Amino acid sequence: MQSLWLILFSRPVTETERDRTFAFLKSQAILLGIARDHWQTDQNLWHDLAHALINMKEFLYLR
Amino acid sequence: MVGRWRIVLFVVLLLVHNRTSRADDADYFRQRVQPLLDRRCYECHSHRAKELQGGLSLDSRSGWVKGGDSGTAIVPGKPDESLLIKAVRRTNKDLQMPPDEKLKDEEIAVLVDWVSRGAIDPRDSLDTERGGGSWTEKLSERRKHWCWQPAKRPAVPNDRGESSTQVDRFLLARMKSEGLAPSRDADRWSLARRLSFVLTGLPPAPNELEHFVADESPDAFDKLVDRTLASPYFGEHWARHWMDLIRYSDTHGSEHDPLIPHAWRYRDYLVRAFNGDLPYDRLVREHLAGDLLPPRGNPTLGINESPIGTGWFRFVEFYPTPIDVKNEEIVVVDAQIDAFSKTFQALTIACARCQLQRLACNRCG
Repeated sequence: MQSLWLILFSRPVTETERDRTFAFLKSQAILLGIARDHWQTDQNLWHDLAHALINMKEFLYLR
Repeated sequence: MVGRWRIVLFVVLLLVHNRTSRADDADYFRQRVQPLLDRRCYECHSHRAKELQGGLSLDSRSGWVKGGDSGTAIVPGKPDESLLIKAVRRTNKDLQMPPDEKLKDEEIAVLVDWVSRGAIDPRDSLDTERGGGSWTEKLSERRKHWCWQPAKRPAVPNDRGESSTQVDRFLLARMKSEGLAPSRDADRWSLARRLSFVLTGLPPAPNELEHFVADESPDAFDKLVDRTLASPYFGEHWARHWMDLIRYSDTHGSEHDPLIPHAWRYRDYLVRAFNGDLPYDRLVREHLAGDLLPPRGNPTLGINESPIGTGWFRFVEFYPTPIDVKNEEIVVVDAQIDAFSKTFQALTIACARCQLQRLACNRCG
């Protein structure tokens, strides 16, 4: 997650963001019916996260 | 039915003929009449004259329509009734122009021909009726435009604020007068991201970021700037801006859209020029006459860089099977002049295709 944030937003991830991202991954994994021991490696799951992140305004604009 | 088609055909031919002859008349004026007026009459009868003689100016259409003290100078289609023609023919001893030397017969013939054909005068930009005021007034007004003013060095405001740069002191002074305060300095992560996008158009590499944020030396930012300037992406990013100015293209446009052979060589030349820190004056010279300059060797590639600079001359819209070859040539040269002047001089001098004086153009003046 740290490296995703560095690549996309050029900064470290905050604690709040990390908590919300974990919550998102968890609910998405349950929705997609992914077994718990595949959460770290399932491509669809992490695709969804990457999609959500590059849709953020912070990725498009400079602060 | 056949009769109706004949009428249609006739009307079409009439329209085509009419358009061509109007354009021909305008060209005739620019190529034959205007230079003649310029050479033999403008000294006393134009905005250039120290004092306008007889109240007659010939450097605008409205000038001769209004005429001088003796009335309108030209009656279109009727040379024998036009004062201008009478004056150059010297039929009346009180009206002989130019006063010192009679025009040559062929010069008189040009003027007579022009008046007989309706005295088509495409110059409307010096027209004193458009926008009001005389040409002299208009010119002096247009010269006040900020871009024609010499650069000034204003006093730098004293208040330094938190920043060390002079530009920031100007900003601070203005913000204070507007009741505003500067925002806080950006954190180092943001600063590195801004720098990277400005110089390379790309986000910073994660390892570069972490390196900069951890670097506590006072010149950490300067070093980051140097590293980013040294990146190959710097040249690619700024060559792209330059390519927009110079109208880079891989094809000629038009419905056939033919390829421009070797266009990419110019693109790569630009990237190398930016990354190799080629001095600007040399870049400009190579763009204009790189084929005539002493070679600038590139030992790595084993090529002479200089002539590649002239490649941009090919970035024009081009129609491979033109109906009017002469016109196609004009359009091409016109586009080259336009791109040249906008890129190198920030001026629109393509109006000189029709106008005598660039500030006379109502569109850009």
